[in-house]
Amino acid sequence: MFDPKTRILIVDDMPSMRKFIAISCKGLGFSDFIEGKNGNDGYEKLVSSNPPVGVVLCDWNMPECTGAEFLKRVRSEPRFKLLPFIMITAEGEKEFVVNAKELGVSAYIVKPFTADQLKEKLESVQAHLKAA
Amino acid sequence: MGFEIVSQNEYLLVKLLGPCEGDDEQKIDKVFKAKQEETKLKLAVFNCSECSGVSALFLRQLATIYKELEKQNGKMRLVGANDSVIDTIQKNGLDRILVCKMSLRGALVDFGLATSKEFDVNFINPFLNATQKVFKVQAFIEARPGKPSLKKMSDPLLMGDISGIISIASETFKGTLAISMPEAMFLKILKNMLGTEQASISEDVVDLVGELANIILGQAKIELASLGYRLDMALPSCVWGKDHKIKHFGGGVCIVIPFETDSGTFYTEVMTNTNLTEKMGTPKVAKGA
Repeated sequence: MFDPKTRILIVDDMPSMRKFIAISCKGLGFSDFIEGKNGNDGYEKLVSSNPPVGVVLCDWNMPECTGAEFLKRVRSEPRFKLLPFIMITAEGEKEFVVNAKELGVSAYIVKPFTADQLKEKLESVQAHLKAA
Repeated sequence: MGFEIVSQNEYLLVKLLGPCEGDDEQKIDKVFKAKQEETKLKLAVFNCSECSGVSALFLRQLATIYKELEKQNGKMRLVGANDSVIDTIQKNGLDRILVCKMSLRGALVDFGLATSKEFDVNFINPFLNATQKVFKVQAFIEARPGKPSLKKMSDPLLMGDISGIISIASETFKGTLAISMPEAMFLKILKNMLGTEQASISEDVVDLVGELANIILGQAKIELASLGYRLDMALPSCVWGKDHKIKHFGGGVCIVIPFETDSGTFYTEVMTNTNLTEKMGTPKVAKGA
């Protein structure tokens, strides 16, 4: 699992969902969170964060800039090529999952989700990161 | 790549599984021809919802099927095709014969087997199942569905004190999904999910009900996609206050599904701009939702 001190960027247009995800992460031992309300806001928070963001948890359907657009922008920069980026979204149809994978998502969680599912994905992402 | 061919009453349903290269040992046009001769059915729907892409070779096999059906005054339609599949069809100049519809309902309307004004009652069960699952997994509330009923479109009253509302659009209809619940239930969900205890609804937390509607629609979409329906969804909104109302325009039906919980009754409403012509059946209760 990631170091509990890892900074997590949570991007979702719904404040309650951002809080819910943070609570789920707290249950897994994390304590450092920053938030973005859409892809543009998320990007600004990502590039200006100090300490750097260690994991991004991002929704898909958001105004101004979707999660897919945010992911594409992130992966276009070499410094973020390996940044763990997990999509957490209500969009569960195969075409969305395939699209996200093509854009370079690290993992994909379909809402509704449990804390155990989040933990499993974080562990999986970290294992892949170590192997890379 | 694989495919399954299933006989429906009046048409053949071919489900494409995975990417379609056309280089399988059993060519789809040969298998289809055999099935079609066996059943004598002249209408065919190809469900592409699980097909990530197609090759020109595969499209030629589909074109062969089209030509055979055309000779018999039959028809074929593709449903659930993604942008990649549609693009390949267009680039190969086959879009006039390999016609893509967003949904199975759209194909059946083209075949004359359904009218665009009918409402498919099988459309409701995915919302029922999704509601149960979302309330259980995300809100930690067991919800037991009651019997669906019709609400007059002229009746603007939503049933609860707070509602999450999200637009639905498909090829054959437009509508709205609403989740409406009493204040006490919303406050319980707030506590269950966010650990927040408060005595009444406040503006800073109302987005939670919109998010629940969003997640329910997302889950329903997955099941509906397997039935050949493609839906688009918008960003949700929320309305709250005693006796709050929502007005729908354009005619159609509003189906209300009540759900009983230990914290009271809430309602899932699916409103569309189509008219109900089929009698509603008993809803199927999801197992282990």
